[in-house]
Amino acid sequence: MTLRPFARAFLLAGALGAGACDTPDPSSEAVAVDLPPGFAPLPVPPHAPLTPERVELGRRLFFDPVLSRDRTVACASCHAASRAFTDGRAVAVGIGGQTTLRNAPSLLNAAYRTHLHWDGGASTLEAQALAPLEAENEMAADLAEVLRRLDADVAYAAAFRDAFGEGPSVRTLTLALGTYQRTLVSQTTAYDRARTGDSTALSDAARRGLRLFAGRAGCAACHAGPLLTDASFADNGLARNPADSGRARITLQHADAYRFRVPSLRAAATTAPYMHDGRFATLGEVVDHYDRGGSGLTGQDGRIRPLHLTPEERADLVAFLQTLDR
Amino acid sequence: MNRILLAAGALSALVALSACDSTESSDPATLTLSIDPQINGTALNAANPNALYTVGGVKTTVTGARLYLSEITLLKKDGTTVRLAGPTVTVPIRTTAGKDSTLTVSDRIVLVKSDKGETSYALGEAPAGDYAGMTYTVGLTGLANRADATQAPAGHALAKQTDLNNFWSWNAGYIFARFEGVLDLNHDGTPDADAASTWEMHLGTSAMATTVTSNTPFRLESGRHQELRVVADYGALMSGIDLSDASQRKCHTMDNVAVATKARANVSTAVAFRGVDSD
Repeated sequence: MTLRPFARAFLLAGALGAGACDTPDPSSEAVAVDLPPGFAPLPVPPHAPLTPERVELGRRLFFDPVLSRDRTVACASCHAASRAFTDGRAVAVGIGGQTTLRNAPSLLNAAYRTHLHWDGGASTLEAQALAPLEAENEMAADLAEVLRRLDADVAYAAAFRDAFGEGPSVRTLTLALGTYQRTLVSQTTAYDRARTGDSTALSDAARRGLRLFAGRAGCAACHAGPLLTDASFADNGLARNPADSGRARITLQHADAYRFRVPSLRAAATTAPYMHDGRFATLGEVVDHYDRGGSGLTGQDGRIRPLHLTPEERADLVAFLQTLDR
Repeated sequence: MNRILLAAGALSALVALSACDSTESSDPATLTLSIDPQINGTALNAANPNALYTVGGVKTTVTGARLYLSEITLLKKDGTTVRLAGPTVTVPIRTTAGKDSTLTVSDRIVLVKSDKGETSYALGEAPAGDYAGMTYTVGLTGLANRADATQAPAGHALAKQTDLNNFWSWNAGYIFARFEGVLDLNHDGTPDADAASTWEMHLGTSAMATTVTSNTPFRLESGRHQELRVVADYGALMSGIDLSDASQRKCHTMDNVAVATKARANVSTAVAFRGVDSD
């Protein structure tokens, strides 16, 4: 399978340092990933170098439903390359059509995330991979069985040995998946071109929208920096679902109730629907929500207040958000 | 000639006695952790998965019984301490600030798998002598609880297990104490087929780690193999928890803090040091 534009750009570069836990073949050429202007260097932990063998193995595994109990669900089922590595659904759907509580987040730029999952509960990309793999309503994998399947597959067994010098294990399976996901970086967009001096990159409406975004509308207070997120957790004023307390489930702190990770707005036009539970189908609905000032419930972030935008201003904001894709 | 022989003999005896004294004072004892798994005072029979026990006021089988012990520290009578060390490993971690880092772990960490019938765990060596007691933590503290279990070396206690999950991939931490089973609510002498009869008590998060102090004195003998005996009464962990109440049957700590808090309060009595045996 060829990679879509969102996950493109494998270039050969100099060899990277060896990992803390094993040493890849020094003759293995390293993989470099194109980064949009202004992005920090790609975070690559020493134990997880981006070797071509590991990236390719991780890619194959990512798209292969062999990892699920009944071989029907792959990682890519909820994180489709054609949809900026999300799935276009309000909430994720797993084995047997079971649904989850939350929207499948885009995996673009996941390497940069300090916290994973909407509530920030998962730590590394490797550890996080276990969550959907083992969740009964997602891939419901019996890890021991999955490893047996991979080991019994001649091609996979060989690919693991090429990549790691050993066969499939919890360590190598999750490391392959994590390594592949680190290469998923958003592409340079019209917004980036505008930031670097291209005066023709944005339409007039998008330019006006950017001024609102960074100014009166206050979006940039949370959606800041090249990744358009400050990586914090916030209650952005959505009506609450008592079944999902967000960050509080992890920290056990009442103050974190109904706070969710501030997502990156990169590829926003492609990652509909929006919010942690996918309740908004369009960017217009998102803008309307913030224009209303959220729900006004106690605990809502104080930066969210009615904006009193005109219809034209709402359209301008949407026009700007659409420049974050390509 | 007789005086020479007598002197030689005395000298030999003196050397021999001195050699024995230096051996006894310098050789450490080799220690094994010996776990006595119980369910409210009844021995847990891992070989019989259909055995019924009374837990939380209800008859139940046991499908999972595990716990982590760490920071095992022997308290010498002279006031010094001996922290038991394990194999040194380096594991990736994510700090609470979300930064990638590594952690070198040299602590002796034990994953007790009572549901597998495991009762003995090597603890390494400790100096011979008199001890006033010991401390140990049920669970993991600090950065050890933020280790990436997927990348810990296979065979190490911190490594992700594939038989029973010992690590919360969705909450960056380990399951310190795991106790679960299937209830016999219809009282027919067999576990119910109804999914509502399954129960799980998974205790974790750094706040729930419990350090237990025992003031049971013991002596370690130079060059001997000795067992530190610990009773792990999983049933006692559930004291005050009513499994006839469906709302108390599922606890993964964060989703049922009330049950987790009760279990944590029981740890020091449920996981108790009982002294030292010698082989």
